[in-house]
Amino acid sequence: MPKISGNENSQREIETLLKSPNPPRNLLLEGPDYIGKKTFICSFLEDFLGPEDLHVADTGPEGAREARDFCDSHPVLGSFRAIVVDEADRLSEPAQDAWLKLCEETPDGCLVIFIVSDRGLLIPPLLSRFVHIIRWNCLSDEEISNCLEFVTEPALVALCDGRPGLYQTIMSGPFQELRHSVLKILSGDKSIFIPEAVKKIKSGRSKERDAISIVCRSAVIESKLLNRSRSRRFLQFCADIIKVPSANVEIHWHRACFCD
Amino acid sequence: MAKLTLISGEEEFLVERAAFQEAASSLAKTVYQFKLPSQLSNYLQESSTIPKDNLSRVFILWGADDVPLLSSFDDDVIVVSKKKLSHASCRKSYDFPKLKSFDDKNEYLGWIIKEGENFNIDLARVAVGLFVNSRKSLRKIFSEIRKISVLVPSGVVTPEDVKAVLCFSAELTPKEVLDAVCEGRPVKAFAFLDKLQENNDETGWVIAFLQRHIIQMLLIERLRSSGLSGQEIAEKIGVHPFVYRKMVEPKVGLWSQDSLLKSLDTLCNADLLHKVGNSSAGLMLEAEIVRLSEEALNDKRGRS
Repeated sequence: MPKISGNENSQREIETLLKSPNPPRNLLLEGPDYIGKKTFICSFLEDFLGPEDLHVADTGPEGAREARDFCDSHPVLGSFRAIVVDEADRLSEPAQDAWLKLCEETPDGCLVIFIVSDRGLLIPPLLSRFVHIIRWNCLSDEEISNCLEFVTEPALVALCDGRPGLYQTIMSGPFQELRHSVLKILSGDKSIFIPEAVKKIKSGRSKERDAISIVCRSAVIESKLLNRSRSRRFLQFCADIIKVPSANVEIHWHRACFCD
Repeated sequence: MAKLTLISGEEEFLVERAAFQEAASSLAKTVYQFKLPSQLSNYLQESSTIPKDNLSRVFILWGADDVPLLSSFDDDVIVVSKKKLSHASCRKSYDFPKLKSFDDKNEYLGWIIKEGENFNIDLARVAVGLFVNSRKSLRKIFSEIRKISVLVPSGVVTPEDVKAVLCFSAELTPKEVLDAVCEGRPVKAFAFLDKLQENNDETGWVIAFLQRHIIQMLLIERLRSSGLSGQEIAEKIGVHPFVYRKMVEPKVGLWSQDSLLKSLDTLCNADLLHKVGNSSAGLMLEAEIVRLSEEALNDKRGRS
């Protein structure tokens, strides 16, 4: 099982709860994106129960039905079966209703774990089913330095605000492509190109918006405001896509790119 | 010697119908159709051969720029062209210029009523409705009239009769708003916008549609300035070359680059306001429709 830095108390609490003779049927993990909630819970459950008894549910309309089917069978190796719903606060209301049914009548030998960044986005009846809510926090500077062994961009670590997963995402291929594109545009390039990271998310809440915003912001800072007008546009783009989660990222990207 | 009929005009449906009516009234055994100029040699070859069993033939020549060599046998030759042609041996000629649709002199309405009379029905009360529903597509209007004539008893046709059988082919979308803006007619654009908003708030849809159009225009301007051909631009923006030539290209150049950028900026701001529930987004959209329409109109005046 990989070691997850930070939030040791929360990790210990989860282990104690799930290893107890009477584990809870519903569990909620709450905390900002990119701090290792899902990585921890999935790796812990895989070790503790075995991969056959772990199901990471889809947040689409079919997710609850698939989870119900998964619950209908007995555990293969472990003492119970676990269902993990990541980004559960992004479920639509009808989908939350479907999950409510499962959470109200969780079958014996099953555990439903919701991972959210903001519990206020869950409908009250569904939230009321979670007796155990475990809070996760952003990592301290020391924890971050323990977690990220090879930091090539220290300035980006500071922008990530205690979220190591965000740094790792930003350093991945599509976001590096995005960064190069922004730098090229700021240096006067007029080619028409939409980076993959932008194409991937068009509208709707998504944690990648944070990553896009940080990458564009860091590129603007890196360019030392070479083109002031365009720099201003890109900073506005960063603010807009975070402020209004339903804003279409591709269209606002065009707005930032076309300005001279 | 062949009998020549010349048919010209821009009303495709009327031209086509007249050509087939002429062919039918000639009582010829065989009807040959050729597209000119690509099939000119085929026509010349066919018309120079002796007709089988000495039966008469009809040759319909579509899209001719000039009257080709006529058959030396007793055939009928119908030459269809966009521009008006003349020939010494012409027996009959028809011309179907584009009907006018000015508000005070809408020739389409007269045509609808006349077509109704041919079917023994009075369409005076529903002519405007038919025109609004099918616009300037005579083919569509004619198919509606034929349907009405079958389903409605002869006599005066009322709007209630028509509503039950009409195919509502002109469904309203933000495209109509955009087309009106491109024509430089803000009043028409507002009429469509109001109609669109009747059931639901469609501000977001209209904003998104205009945003996409503006972005497309900006992309095309940029691609044109880099020296790409129409075919290459169509490929880059992901539309079929035919669609690009017929639907996109005529709208290019209606607005200056600065105006397009200003518009994109305003529409993006309106979009953000609309998405956070601020009602001023609708006002911003209306103001932008007026501005874009006026610029399009000025551009048209400048061109003419």
